[in-house]
Amino acid sequence: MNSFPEDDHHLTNFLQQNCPTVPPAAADLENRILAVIDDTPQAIGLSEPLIAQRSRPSRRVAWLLPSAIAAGFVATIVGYQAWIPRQQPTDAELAELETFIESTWQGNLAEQPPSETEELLPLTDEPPVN
Amino acid sequence: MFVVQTVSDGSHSENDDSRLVQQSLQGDTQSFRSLYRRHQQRVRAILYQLCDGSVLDDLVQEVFLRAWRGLPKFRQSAKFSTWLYRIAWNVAADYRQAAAKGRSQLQRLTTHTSTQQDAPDVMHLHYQDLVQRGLEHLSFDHRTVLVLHDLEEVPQKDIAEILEIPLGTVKSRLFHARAAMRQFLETEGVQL
Repeated sequence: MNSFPEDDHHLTNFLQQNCPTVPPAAADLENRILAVIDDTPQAIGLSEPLIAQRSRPSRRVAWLLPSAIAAGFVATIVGYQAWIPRQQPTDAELAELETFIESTWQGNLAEQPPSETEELLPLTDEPPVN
Repeated sequence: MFVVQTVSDGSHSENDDSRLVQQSLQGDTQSFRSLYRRHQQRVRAILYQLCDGSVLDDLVQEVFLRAWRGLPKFRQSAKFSTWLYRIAWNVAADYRQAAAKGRSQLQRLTTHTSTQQDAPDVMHLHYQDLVQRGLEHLSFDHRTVLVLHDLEEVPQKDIAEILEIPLGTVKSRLFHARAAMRQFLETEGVQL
């Protein structure tokens, strides 16, 4: 199953023989590190992965917050439309509207000239009979 | 006389490491000093080949400080060296990330070419420079696998554990890293 060759001796030998030489440590590095460690308590249960895990709930909150705001906004709009009744026209307004429609309707028909009415006849191939 | 870096033979007894870890957990800093002495050379080499020399001492200190702090979370069933190299890799990755963001203005030190050889072999220095530049030429993922496997001779199974990736991914990265390194060397006139 493995399609990758295991060894490349020529390259590996070349790399090992010509590996960059590591600079020597400062003479006091070991004591410096131990001095820092002497002043540093071992953290119980605070390895890096756990720290990373602890940051996850705050990320969830960060995602939940805008979602909650959006949901609240939608709920407000829907609730407003559901709870506020639409205004019904009064009898006087209905009568006025009816009168208006009747008058404008009649006016449209009355103002239309007879010639225009004829022009609206359906078109046929037969010539008009006169 | 040219000083050739000696690669650790990996003969450290895991039992000894385990005993030292137990004593360190009880606050025995001298046991931790022993752990430092057993592993610092390899940690130092890995960090140097993944980063650079200018902040090497600081990075080594950071690795062992993190190891000391995190020791209570170390699973006793695991190999201490594998766990320590994982920390070293994390420190190197953090450092490179910070450097890439410009938070660290670094200048490469070249003291290793001027202070350690009494009679430097010019061709050897040239090849060392090529290997160094070849490593820099690789992506961090490929560089890490090549350094750990081909330079530090860490077994592939351990590398998979250190990097928390499947063994197949280690093999794949090693294959591509070697191909890229070989190609780089060839363009520089090295025929292997």
